[in-house]
Amino acid sequence: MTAKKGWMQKLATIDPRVIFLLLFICVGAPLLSPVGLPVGISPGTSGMYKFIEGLPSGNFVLSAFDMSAAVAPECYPQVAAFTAHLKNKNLKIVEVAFDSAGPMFADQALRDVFGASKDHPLYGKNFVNLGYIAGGEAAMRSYAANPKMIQKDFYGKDIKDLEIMQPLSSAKDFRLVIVITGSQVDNFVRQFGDPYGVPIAGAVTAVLVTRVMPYYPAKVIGYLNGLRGAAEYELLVKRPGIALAGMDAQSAAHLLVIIFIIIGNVGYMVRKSRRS
Amino acid sequence: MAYSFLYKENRAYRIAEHIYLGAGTGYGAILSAKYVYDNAWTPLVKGNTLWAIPLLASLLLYFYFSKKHFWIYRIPTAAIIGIGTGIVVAADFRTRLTEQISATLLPLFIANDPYKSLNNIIIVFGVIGSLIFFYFSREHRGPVKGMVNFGKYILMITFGAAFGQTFMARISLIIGRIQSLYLWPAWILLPSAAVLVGVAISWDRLRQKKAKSATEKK
Repeated sequence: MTAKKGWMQKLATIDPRVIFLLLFICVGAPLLSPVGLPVGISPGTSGMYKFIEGLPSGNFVLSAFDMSAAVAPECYPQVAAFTAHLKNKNLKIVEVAFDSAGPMFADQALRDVFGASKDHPLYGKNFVNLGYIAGGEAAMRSYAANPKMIQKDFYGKDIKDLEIMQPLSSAKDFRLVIVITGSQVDNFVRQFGDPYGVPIAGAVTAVLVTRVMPYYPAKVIGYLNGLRGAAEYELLVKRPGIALAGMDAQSAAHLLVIIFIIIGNVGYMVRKSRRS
Repeated sequence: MAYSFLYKENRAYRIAEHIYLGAGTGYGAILSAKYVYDNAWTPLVKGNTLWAIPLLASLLLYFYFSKKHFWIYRIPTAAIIGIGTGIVVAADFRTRLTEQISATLLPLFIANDPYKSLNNIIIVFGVIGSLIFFYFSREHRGPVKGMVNFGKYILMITFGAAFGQTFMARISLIIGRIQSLYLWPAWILLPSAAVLVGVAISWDRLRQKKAKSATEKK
């Protein structure tokens, strides 16, 4: 009994650094030698995929980067996956950022998917990176009213010289707005979805999903749930990447935490029963 | 270096933190300045004098640093807050209030679709129960108490789901960072970072030891 009590007490007062170390091993080991656990497709991901799949080629899609560098491990794999899908569908991609870190990732996505950004022969015809627009939600509202409100793109090219920008007069010209964010989608629903009737899709961090779900499927036609959403999309577009490679590590870490939660609860109940 | 914080607070972590903050702030400031230069300053010097108004108004923000003329700073601030609030509140009333309420008015029983019926019952009674939980003007008794309890469980499930999602997000961040460390030239920096962390922690320990012995001598 005494030995049992000591064990329980030890568990209750375990150094958090031990948990960090175990977590690090659980994440690192599957990355080095992947197991290849199956990944199912969630309704949010398939909703977004099916919608893009149904768009006729040549339609305009807005990729709105409202993401900071801190959420890049979750959001960037999503961006790479859906940009590849947009390219395969021959859709016209307009990239714009409402966070200062956004243009950097927009440029990276173009280089990863098209092989080049501003130097690509199709730049300005099939895709464009407009860069950062300061002003938060006020900027979103202005941009939705007039997508040509800015003078130059991210690389300093005049908007008037970019062929892709000429037919755009308001947010109504976009068939889809994909919001890449770690903060909120409400502002895009407010400024793009509701006033112009443009469908919204979310490439969001896992933290944000519970805030996106009230809009799904009426206003947000689909959403990618963090790294898992990115992995699902990589599967759908047959472009396995870093998200899919990270899924084993994600499952191993979840399993470890579930074990810790069970141990913690058992310990709590044992102590409670002893006290009573 | 940043992850060394998990072991303990140390100088290497603080160096990493300051570099991150400095680089991020500098990058953001440059992009903001470029945006103003491209979209306000350039049209102004080309003859579109209307741009002088917002540019001059924005300069008034610098009166924040003047004790005597601080009130001038309040003028552009009031405009920013007023416009920002107007843009959000007017649209938000529809997006997050009226349309969410109408989306909650669902039929409780749908013929030949028990799954949807159950879903609708949970949504309708979950919303009502959660709202009653925050109604404090009367004591929760009788059938109201049942609704409150139901609302409480719905709220707890929501918090649990949010926590689970948050945990998943944090793990994704670690996965992303570890994956980036596999790539060239990041992995070659690992030994240097490990040495820096080791030095920083030893340095901190040495200083703590010295401070302790100095206190003991006193």
